[in-house]
Amino acid sequence: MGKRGGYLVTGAIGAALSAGYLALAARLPLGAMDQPGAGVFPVVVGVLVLLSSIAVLWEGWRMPAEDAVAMPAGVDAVRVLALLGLLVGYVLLLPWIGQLVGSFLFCLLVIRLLSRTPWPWIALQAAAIAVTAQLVFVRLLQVQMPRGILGF
Amino acid sequence: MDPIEGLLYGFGVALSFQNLAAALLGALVGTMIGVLPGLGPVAGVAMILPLSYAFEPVTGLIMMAGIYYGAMYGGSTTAILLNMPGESASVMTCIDGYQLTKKGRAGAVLALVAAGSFVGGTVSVVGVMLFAPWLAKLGILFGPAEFLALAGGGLLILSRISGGSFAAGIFPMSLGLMLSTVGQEAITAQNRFTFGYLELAQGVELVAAVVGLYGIAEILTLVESRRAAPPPVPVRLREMLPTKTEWRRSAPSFGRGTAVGFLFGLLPGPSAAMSSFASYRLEKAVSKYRDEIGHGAVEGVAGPETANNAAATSSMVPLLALGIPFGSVTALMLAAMMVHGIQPGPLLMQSNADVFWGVIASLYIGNIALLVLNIPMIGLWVSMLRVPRHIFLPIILVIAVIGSYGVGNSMVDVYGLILLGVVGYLLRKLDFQLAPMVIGLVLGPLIEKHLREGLFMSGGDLLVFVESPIALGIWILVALVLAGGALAPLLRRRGANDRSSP
Amino acid sequence: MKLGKTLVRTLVGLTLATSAGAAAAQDYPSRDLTFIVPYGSGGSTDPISRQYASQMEKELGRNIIVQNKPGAAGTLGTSAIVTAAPDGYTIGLGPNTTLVFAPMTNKDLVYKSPADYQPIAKLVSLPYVLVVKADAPWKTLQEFIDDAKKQPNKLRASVSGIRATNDLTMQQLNKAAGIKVRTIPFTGGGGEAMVALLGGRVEAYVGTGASTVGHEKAGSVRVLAVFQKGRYDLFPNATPVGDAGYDATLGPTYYAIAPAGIPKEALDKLTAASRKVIASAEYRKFAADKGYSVENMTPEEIRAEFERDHAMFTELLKFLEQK
Repeated sequence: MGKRGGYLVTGAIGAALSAGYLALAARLPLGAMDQPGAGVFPVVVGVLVLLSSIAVLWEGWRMPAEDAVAMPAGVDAVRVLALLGLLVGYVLLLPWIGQLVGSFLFCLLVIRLLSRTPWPWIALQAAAIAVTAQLVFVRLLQVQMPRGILGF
Repeated sequence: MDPIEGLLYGFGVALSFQNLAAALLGALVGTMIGVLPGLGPVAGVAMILPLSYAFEPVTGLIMMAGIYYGAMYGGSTTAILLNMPGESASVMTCIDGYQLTKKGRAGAVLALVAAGSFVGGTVSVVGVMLFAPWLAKLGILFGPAEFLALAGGGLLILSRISGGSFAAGIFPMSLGLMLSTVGQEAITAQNRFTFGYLELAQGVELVAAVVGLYGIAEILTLVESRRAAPPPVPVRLREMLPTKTEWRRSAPSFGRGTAVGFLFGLLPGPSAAMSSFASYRLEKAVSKYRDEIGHGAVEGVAGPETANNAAATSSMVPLLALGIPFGSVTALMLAAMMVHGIQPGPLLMQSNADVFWGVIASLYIGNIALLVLNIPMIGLWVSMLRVPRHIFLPIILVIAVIGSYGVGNSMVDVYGLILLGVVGYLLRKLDFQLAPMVIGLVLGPLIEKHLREGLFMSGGDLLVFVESPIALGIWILVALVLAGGALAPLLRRRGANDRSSP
Repeated sequence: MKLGKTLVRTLVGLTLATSAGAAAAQDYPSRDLTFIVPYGSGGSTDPISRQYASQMEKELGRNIIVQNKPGAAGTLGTSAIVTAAPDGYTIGLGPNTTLVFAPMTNKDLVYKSPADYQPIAKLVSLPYVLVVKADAPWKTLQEFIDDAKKQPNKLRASVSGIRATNDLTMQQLNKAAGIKVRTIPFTGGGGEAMVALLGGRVEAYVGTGASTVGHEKAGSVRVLAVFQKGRYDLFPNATPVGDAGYDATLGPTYYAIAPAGIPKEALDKLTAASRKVIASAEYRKFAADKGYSVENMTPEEIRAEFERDHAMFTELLKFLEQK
């Protein structure tokens, strides 16, 4: 898909988003002129999103079809998606396995994804990152990370 | 006490061993915290707050102030080197800073930023010292009308700040405004767009959004290639220093940035971020090299970075002279004072002269400390670029996740970080500008708040927004800038035609 | 994911059950406690929580981790306390309006009534004050009320949000005195409501003594009244609204609460320890220094207080809807 298609899709998503947003905003109280309610600003913003989505569609429509977008392909795309997947898995599991274990596993897999380092060496690096993060942020700076079922 | 007497007394307080150590440590820790993505000045000061209870009040405040401007300075480092701003005040720095890094000028830019932060900070302290009680009145002059003019006019002026087509600026900006309305609004405590999920009621956390849009998106872009980009050639000391031309070009930007930052710091709201937006816009309008801004011009970095440090310093004015904190960081400093039983207010200068003058003197010391600490560290920061990618990326990601979580102790912010990372990645692919989205996120709540509060105040009379001379003046200025922006290309073209035609 | 959570919980439950054996409730507390504060660090509730928690640590012989969970005007953190496991190991701070008033207007909240949480102790309460500029024409509360009667909807008082606690307090006075003073929201925490008064954009300000005392000492504002019964030591010359014949004494009050249904042994230990802490000289001195009043109350007495507040808020809402 070229840039033109990208613009048209983005504009369409934006328009749909603004329609849903406006539908929800319409349910908020508008209040009175001397007591403007919670709905006033969202209605204005919703209209603005709609108009700017139309602007995106318009610019996309007038764009030459041959403009390309540099999306990664093949192995490169797999690598990007794999990193994203690891990131999503990391943050979803974090509340249950805790910062220390979670970060260790995450770093382990990311380093493996991005390098050919042998596993024991990776494990060492990942452990170093996770433990340092734990010491600096959780112990020293008292960031109250989720403790996980193991208690740390 | 007149300012000179006061300052001498203040230096007496600030130069004690433990206060000096607190200023240095604060500046150092602040820089480190600022460098880490997801951790900005607010997080840094909040983290240190419980520790500060253990110290003497002056020492605690000096350390917090050090962390504040240290983090403000440090936040620019990753923005320049990696295109990952640590918080909203460094977003503008990304644009030209990262371009300059690609050109191999990373060291020079960092040195310019350190110098600019020093100039902005130091000139601001002089202003704070001489005019604090008088300047505090300026904050009081600003009400809903004046702020609506500032924030609303700012939005109009800034929508196209980073170039690109019309839609490329306005679409992300309106998305930013839309995101800013999610959660419980402050005035009537109504939940909006939360779909019944209470966790969404706290809204989109700005730090997580900025780190996601820039940092996560940048990382996703980085891993597109199989190998890491070849690290920039080792930087030699001479290359780390700015050239004469770079100094000469930055000097006026330092001056303008200081003025803009100083003024914004006196006002409520996210003044550091707003001052960096305004300063970037000003550079684009008046700098001699305005056509280069956006493609790696030192002015685009020197201005905003000077401004946000000047703002960090002058934001002490409302705190010290009125006892009213106009931003999150000064609110934490106020809390620290109250814990120690210091009564902030207009009488602080008399009742707690050691606190008032000690903090002011420490600002001088801290600014020097920042410069002294950071010039040698530039080499260290630049060498971050040479850490192998497969080690560097997981570290950044782990810190970004912890930082986003730590702001509100909420996993929702972390989910927002990832989601906005993907959005930022895709929007960038299509050449949409991300800076306007952050501007929308920052200014949206301000516009809504001041619009509605102004109407409450006036009983529904819209004239309130143009009745005050200050508000009217700002709107006229906005109109002139917009008109100038529209006319400038035409005028310039005519000028060119005139010259070309005999 | 739900399955995973259940599985994990069962596993943990089994491990704990085997290791801790049957020694459940009698040994309470057998591990550290968490105390949730529904505001960010640096709020006025932080020192209160830390004082209470550090003294409770000594009484219970366990560490108490104070955790800030800010957001949505305190309802987010309060919900986190209410929905925590009812084992007595997670407790926290609950403000009166967040606990009693918020569920009356916000139907999204997980707690609907005082039955959904367990009060432990009343930590502190403080009154709001009514403040005008030093050069304002009103010298007393009565002059202010008389003038407000003469010009309804003209006088304005800055508060920190519509239906925020200080707005409700001002509305109580509106209702009790039969006046119409408009409340103007100045949100954003950092004292913007006070700035609005200093800048002359409103005629009065309703807020805490701590946010006022500096300006009062500097002679820029005058404190007309204090919304409580009895004199307020911070401003001895301010008229107590409650004694002047107006039923308007709502002020921020903070309680220690736990999820509903915690084991009786745990509750008994927590209330007994709290009683000692709140009666202690150290705690009393802390509160007096800050201008807070302290009152030792049993959970039953607190529930009765919630009932009274609920009735008062119901009346007030009726009054507000009429307007």
